[in-house]
Amino acid sequence: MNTAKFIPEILSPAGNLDKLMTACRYGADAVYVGGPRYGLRSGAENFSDEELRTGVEFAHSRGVKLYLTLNAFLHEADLEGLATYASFLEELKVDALIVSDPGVMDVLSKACDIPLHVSTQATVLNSSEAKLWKDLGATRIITGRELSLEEGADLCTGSGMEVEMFVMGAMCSAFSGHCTISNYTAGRDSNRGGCKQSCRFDFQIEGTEGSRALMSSKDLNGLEHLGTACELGIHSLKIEGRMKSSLYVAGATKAFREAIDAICQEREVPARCHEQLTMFSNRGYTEASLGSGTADEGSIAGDGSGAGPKFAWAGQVIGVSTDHAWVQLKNPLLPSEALEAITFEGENQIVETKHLEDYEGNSLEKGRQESVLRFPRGVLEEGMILRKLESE
Amino acid sequence: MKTVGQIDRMDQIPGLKMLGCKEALICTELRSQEGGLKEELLPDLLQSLHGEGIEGKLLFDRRVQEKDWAKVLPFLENIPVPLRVMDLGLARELDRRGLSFELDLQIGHLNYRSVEVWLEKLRGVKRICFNPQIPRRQLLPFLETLSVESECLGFGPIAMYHTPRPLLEWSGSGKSTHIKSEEMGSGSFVMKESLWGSTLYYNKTLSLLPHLSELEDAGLSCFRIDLRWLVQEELELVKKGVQERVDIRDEFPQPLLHGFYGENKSDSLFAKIGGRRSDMDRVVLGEVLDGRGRDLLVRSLGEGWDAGISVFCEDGKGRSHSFVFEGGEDLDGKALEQPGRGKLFKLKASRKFPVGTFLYGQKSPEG
Repeated sequence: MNTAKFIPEILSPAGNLDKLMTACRYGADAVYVGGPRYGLRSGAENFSDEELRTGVEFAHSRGVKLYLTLNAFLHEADLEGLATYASFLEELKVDALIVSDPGVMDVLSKACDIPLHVSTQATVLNSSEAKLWKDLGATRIITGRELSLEEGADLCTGSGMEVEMFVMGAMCSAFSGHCTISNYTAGRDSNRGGCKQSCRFDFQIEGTEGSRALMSSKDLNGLEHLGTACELGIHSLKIEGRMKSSLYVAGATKAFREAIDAICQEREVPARCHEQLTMFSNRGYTEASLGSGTADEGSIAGDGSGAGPKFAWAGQVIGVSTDHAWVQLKNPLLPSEALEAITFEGENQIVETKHLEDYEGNSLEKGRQESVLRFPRGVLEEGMILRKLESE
Repeated sequence: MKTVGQIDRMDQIPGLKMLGCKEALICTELRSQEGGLKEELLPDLLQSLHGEGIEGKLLFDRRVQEKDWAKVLPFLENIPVPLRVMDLGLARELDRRGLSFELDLQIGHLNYRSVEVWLEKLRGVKRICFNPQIPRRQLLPFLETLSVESECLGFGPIAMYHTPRPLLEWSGSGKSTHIKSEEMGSGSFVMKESLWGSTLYYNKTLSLLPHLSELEDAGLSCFRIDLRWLVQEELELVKKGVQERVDIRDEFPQPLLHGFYGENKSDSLFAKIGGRRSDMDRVVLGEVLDGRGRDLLVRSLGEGWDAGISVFCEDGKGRSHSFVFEGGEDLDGKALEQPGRGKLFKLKASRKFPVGTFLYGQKSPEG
C-alpha cells in the first residue's frame, strides 16, 4: 500500500448543511455528518432527511464523498427502524456509514450495501481486532487515537483494511467509547450523544491547593506528521469538529488541503498552513500519539497553554452577483475594521470595508450581527469566509 | 448461580471463602487495566485458591496496541490460568489457538445483537460478562436466550473512565487519591493508577443484591462481587446481602446504587435526540436572512415557489401572517419567477420580518 505519491483523503466535519458546503469549497475530499438519530453529537444541529439529500447532492456535484455517523452504542429499542433508515441512506447514495456497535453493523450489513467504517468509538487498536470487524462487513477502521501513524499503517497491512486516523481537533483523554462519567454523574449517556465533557472540568486533588484540568486533553494537531502519513499510505486523515463553526471548518480544511498538496508535489508546506491553525480557540496543541504512540505529560491541558481565538469570524458570503457579494455577518462590523477573506486556495485576501452598505446598497454606520451587507465583488465567491484581522 | 470474587491480593482469599465464591477473578499488574497482584505471585495465589476449592481466572482486560503484539503473543502460547479478555483482537487470537476464554463486554454492547455477533465469530467464548448499563427489561430476556454462561457485576465499584495516561504520576499524586470538581457537586471520586493508566471510579458502589433472585431465575450463571476495596465490616454486610438477598443500603457505610438495572435514566435524553420541528401540513419554502430594508432578503429552501401561492409565517410574537408570492428579484436585479433551492433573492412582502423567520407554503395533499 506504500506508494511514493500516495495522497490521503482529507475528511472534514460538517455539523450542518452550511458547514458541509464550506468543507467542500475549501478542499475536503470527504465530509462526515450526523443524521437525526443514532449518532454521538446530539448538540450538533445534525441533518434532517431533506438536508441530507441536499448535502449528498452538493458534495457529489463537487466530487466529495459523504459519510454518515451512526456511531452510538444502541439499546435494544433503538435498533428499531435502523434497517429502514439504511435503505433510505442507500437511496440517497451516502458513501459510507460510520459505526461503533457490532449490533448496528450487523443490521446495516444485511440491510444495505453501503461501505461500513468502524468508528474510533470502538477503540480498535490492533490488526487482529480489525480482522474481526472485517468479517462483519467493515471496510475501514477509524483507529483509536492512542495509535501512532506507524501503528496505523501496520494495522492496515495486517488487516487488509483501509485506515482512517484523526489529525486535528479535540480528543477524549479516555479510550473513546469507554467513558461513562456523564452517565453516572448526570444521567446523560455519553455514548449515545449526551457527553457532558466532564473531563474538561477543573479538578482538585485531595490534599492539594487549587484545581486544574487534570483529565482534559489538549487538542490534536498533526500537521507536522502529514509527510509521514503520506509515506505510510494512511488512507484518510480526519479533522474533528462537527460542533465547531464554519470558520474553523474553512480554516482547518484549507490548511490540511494545502499542506497535503504541497507534500505530494514535493514542495515545502506553506507557513500559512501552520498559522491558519493557530487562529482557532484551542486547549493547546499536542501531537498526542501520532509520532511515538505514547501521549506524554504535555498532552494534558492542565498547564494552561490553551489560547482563545486570534481572529473573530466576520461573516460568510451568501450570494454574489456580477458586481457585488452579499455577506451575512456573524459579528457586528464597523467601517474601520479590517477584513480578510479566507480564499478557497492560496493567500488570503484583504477586503475593503471603509464604506458599509446594507443588502440593498444603502449606507450604514455599522453592521449588526446576522445582518446582510453588500460588498464590492472583488475576490469574493459564494461560501467564502471572512474574518476580522484584529484580535478579539 | 455461582458467586465470583474479584481480587488483587493474597489476603483477600478469606473474603472469597466467607462469601462462598467458587471462582476468583484475579487482577494482576501486567494484564489488568486497573493493576493488581505482581505476576510472580500468581502461582502461589493459584495454589492457595486450589487448596480452598476455588477456581482462579486471570483478568486480562487491558487493551492491546499494534506495537504490543510482540510481547503479548508469547504469553498466549503458555497461559497459566483461564483468561477473561476485553480486547477483541486478543479474543480472536485465543480463538484461533482453539482456546476457550471469557469475554468482557462491559463497554458498549447494550443490545443483544451486538453480543450475539461475537458469539458467532468467536467459538471459544465460554462466558459473557455483561455491561452493567443494560437495564433489567433488556437483561432478563437476554439471559433466557444466551447460549453461553453469563455474568454481571453484582457488587462493586464502577469504573467510569480509563485513560492510558498516568495522570496521577504527572500530577505528583501517588498511585491513588480522591479528586473533586465544583462542577460535579460536592462528592469526591477515587482515581487510581496502574501501569496501564488512570481509572476514575464513581462515588457510589453498585449493588444488585436485592435483585439476585430474579437474575438467577432468568438464568444468570455468575454474579460477581468485587472484593478489592471491601474491609471486614463491609464483607459481613455483603455476605448478609448475598445470603438473604436483601438490600443493605441502609446499613452499608458507603453509598450504594442500583445503577441502570432498574431503569435507564439516560433513555429520556436519547428520546429527545432528533426531536426537530415536525411540519405536518406545511412545507418550508425559505428563510429570511435580512428584512430591515425595502425588500426581504430570502434564501430559498424549497422548490414550491409558484407565482400566486400563499406564503405564510409567524412573527417574533407568534402571530401568523400571509402574503401572495408574485415573484422576486435575483441579486443582479433581474426578475425571478421561481427561485430554486439554495438561491438567494429579494422578495417584496407586506411587512418586515425578523432575521431567521421561516416562510412556509401549504403541503400538497399527497405530501
